[in-house]
Amino acid sequence: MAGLPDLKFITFGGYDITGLVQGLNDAVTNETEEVDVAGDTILTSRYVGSAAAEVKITGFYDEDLSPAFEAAGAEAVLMYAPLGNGTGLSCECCSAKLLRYERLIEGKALHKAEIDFLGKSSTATGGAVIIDHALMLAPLAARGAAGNTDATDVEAPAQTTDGARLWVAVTALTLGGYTNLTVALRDSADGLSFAAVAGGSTTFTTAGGKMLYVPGTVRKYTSVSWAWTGTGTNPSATFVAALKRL
Amino acid sequence: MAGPYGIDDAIVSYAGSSINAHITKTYPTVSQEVEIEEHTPLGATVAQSLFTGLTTYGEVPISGPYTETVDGILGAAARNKTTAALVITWGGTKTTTFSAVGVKNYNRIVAKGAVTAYEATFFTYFGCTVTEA
Repeated sequence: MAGLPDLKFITFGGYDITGLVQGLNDAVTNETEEVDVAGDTILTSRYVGSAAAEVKITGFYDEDLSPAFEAAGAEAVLMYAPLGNGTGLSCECCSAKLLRYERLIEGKALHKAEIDFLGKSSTATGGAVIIDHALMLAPLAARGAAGNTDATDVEAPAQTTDGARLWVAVTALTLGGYTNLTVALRDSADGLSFAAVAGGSTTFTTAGGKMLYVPGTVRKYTSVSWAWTGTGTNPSATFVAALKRL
Repeated sequence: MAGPYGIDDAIVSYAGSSINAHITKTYPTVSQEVEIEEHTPLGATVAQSLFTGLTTYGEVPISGPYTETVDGILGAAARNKTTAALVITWGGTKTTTFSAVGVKNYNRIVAKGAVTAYEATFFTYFGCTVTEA
């Protein structure tokens, strides 16, 4: 069982908005249409093919985080972990469009905020997605020198040949002179020998969130690596990476 | 007379497996309504209706604590728009079987001072038959 204390992080683009959240409600709604015809004795319905996902957040107004929501029609990757921040735990991910940002000033109370997002459905790559129920390969944490999570890989029941979606959110980034940060998906058939997955890397020069469709085969065991391009000193990045197998 | 029955007698089975452990807040309600149309002939002093022949089974809501397990059953069904059989055992051997239900709504709620919860609503899918046994 989980509660608010287990909702360890929520990121919107490059913003970690965890500190303002007091409640979260996400909903997947499938549109249906009644399809009973002559001869039917029971009213039945069919999915009509359209679905919607909304994520509603309530909490405190935060002036430092407010810019994340102030831009009209803001869109960014939204990621949140309702059951804790750890490798292999679920991470809900979506490309979210900001629908409503309400700031409330009330008597005898702290300023509050209400934020509504709409999960965008995209069929451009990897099929339609509203809210991906992904698994964390790298929990939200600060990382410095290049490395990987091979030692704490996430095991799936089997490999997939239908590709996957890699979701990454970077909430803090110090390049230290390096050109960019590269986060890449790795896989293995035996959990011992890992290799980069073709088409499974993405780069960051600033904090932000990305969804990458990785086509083809993703083997049974997966992890991520991070590396710095160019030269510099003392780089650091706070990021989370999660994978949704298709 | 068999019964009366309480929640200790009830079993809710979805896709062939009991989901009792996941239903702790909103227990299922099966609403059965026969559609009628008013046809009151001239001269009548009492309004009259005729059955139209269609029976409506209302959406069946359930809710309980959110877990990875329930997400894998009901969340996946909502996201993938799949259907499965829903069997409600009221008590003893009395059952209501929906041959095919879909998940119309699936909500997850994180709130201060509360266990993270899920809510799901079943609807009768195209071709569904309802059997009372």
